[in-house]
This record gives sequence, structure tokens and C-alpha cells, in this order.
Amino acid sequence: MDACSERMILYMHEYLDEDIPEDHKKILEHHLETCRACRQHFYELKKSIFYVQSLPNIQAPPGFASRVMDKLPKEKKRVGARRWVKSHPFLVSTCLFLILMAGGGDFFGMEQPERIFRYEK
Amino acid sequence: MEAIVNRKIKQVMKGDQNAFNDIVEIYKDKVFQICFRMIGSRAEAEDLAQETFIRAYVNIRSFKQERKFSSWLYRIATNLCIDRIRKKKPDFYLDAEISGTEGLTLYSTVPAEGKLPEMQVETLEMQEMIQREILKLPEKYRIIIVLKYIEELSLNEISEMLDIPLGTVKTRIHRGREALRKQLGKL
Repeated sequence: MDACSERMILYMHEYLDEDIPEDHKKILEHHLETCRACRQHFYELKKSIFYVQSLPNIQAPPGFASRVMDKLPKEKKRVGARRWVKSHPFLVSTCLFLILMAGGGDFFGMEQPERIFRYEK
Repeated sequence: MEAIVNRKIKQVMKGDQNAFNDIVEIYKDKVFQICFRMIGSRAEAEDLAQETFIRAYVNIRSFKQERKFSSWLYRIATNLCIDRIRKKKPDFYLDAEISGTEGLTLYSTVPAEGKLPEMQVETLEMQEMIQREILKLPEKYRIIIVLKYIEELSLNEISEMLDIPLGTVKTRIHRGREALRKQLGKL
């Protein structure tokens, strides 16, 4: 059954890789019409691929992502604060507005609001 | 998709872990699947897939944005799988058979309604058999068969991803297919 020529088997693989020159394809097609052993070989190759492709898709187990996240090295606090500011822009600007309103004009000279401004960068 | 992922990666590079959670959600099934098909055990696949994401996070700065993130990530996964396979080589075949069976039973598809019970068993047995044959392949053929026929990547993508010349990828897939044919082709 495995007596087919090396060359024909190579052409079969070229065919399966969808990278077969036109002349090889013609030779292979012609050969398959006449050689039963090669037809069988080619059929078995295609069948094996079909079996592998027929395996079901597999999904990661439930809770996978959170287990990964738990194992990561901890992130810097600064990033967390920046993300918080970004995701609550309205709240931040409202707070800022209220602080400025309450504090009046000379508030800029004080320490606390300066820290808030640094987050905004 | 690529654009969303690249934006997330930039956030991760700035140290934002929440953005990385999204990356894990996007790629977890693909990465887990590669590991499972390479290794044949569910527990080990989870272990390897987790390690893949942890390494990706720690080394995110070495990822070049002009490359495809998925290729970079799958490369980490396949390297880890191959290391694992090489480490446990001596008792590998016996081990693979047992763990492969256990993993597959848990993961097999629900058969379509109306099928006879007998058919379901047959399908499951087939899946186990196919997985066992994949696990018997030498790892350098196995990885290419998995990437090509399970992940459906092109040979060019595989060549780039594994940093192996296209000609070598072809030789390996040919040998992989011939090895599978000897077992699966006769069924």
C-alpha cells in the first residue's frame, strides 16, 4: 500500500498545503486516476486531517481569567488612581469645582488641591 | 480587533492591570486549547495557559506593536508546552494516554439531539482516539499540526510565529500528516 513513489507523495502534500504548481497538480491528478495505491494513500491523508479538524473547540475553564489576575504582580497605586480619575471625569471635576468654590481665590497656594491637579496630568 | 488589542496593550504597558484582564478574556480559549491539545490534560493545560499569560504580562515591554499580539502570545504558550513535554519525556506516552482520556471526557461536545446513545459513545471514543494520536506525534510535528488544523493558522503565520523557515514547517507538517495517516487513515 505504501509503494507509491516519493514524488507523488510529495505532490499530495503540496496539494494539501494548497501550494502546488499547476504542472504537479496535473501529473498528480493523472496519476491518481490510474494508481489505486496512491488514491488510497491520498484518501487516508485527507481523512486524517478531517479527523483532527473534527475535534470540538475547547474553552478555558470557568474563572480562568480571575485566577490569572490573582497571580500577577501587584500594579502601582498611581495607575489605579489615574484610571479612577479617567473613569469618573464628572465626579472629579465636580469635586474640584466644589473645593475651589469653598476655598475661594487663595486656594491654589495650599497643598491639597495641588495633589489633585497632579492626578489630572 | 487588532486595534482594540493594541490599545489595551498600551494601557497594560503603562501598568494598568484591568486592561490585561480584557486581554486574558479575549485570548484565554485559544491559549487553553493550544495547551490542551499539546499536552492532553486539562489540569496541566490550565497551569500552562496561566503561566503563558503571567509571562506575557511580565514581559509585555518586549512585545513589538508591529507584530501580531496573538502570534507573540501563542509563541509563549507553545514554548512552555514544549518545555513541559521535554521534561516529562521518559514516562510521556503512558502518561499522555491516561491524562488525554480524562481531559477529553470532560471537554467533549454535547452530541446533537436525537442521536442514539451508542453513537455518542462512539463519537467520544473517536475524539479520545484522535487526541491520543496527536499526543503520540513528536512535539515538533505536533505543534504544527495543532496550529494548522486546530487553530487554523496558515503555514506562513506558523513559520513567522515559531521563527522557523517555511520549508521546515512544510517538511514537519508532511511528516506529521504521514504519521497521523498511519493511525487514523485506516479507521
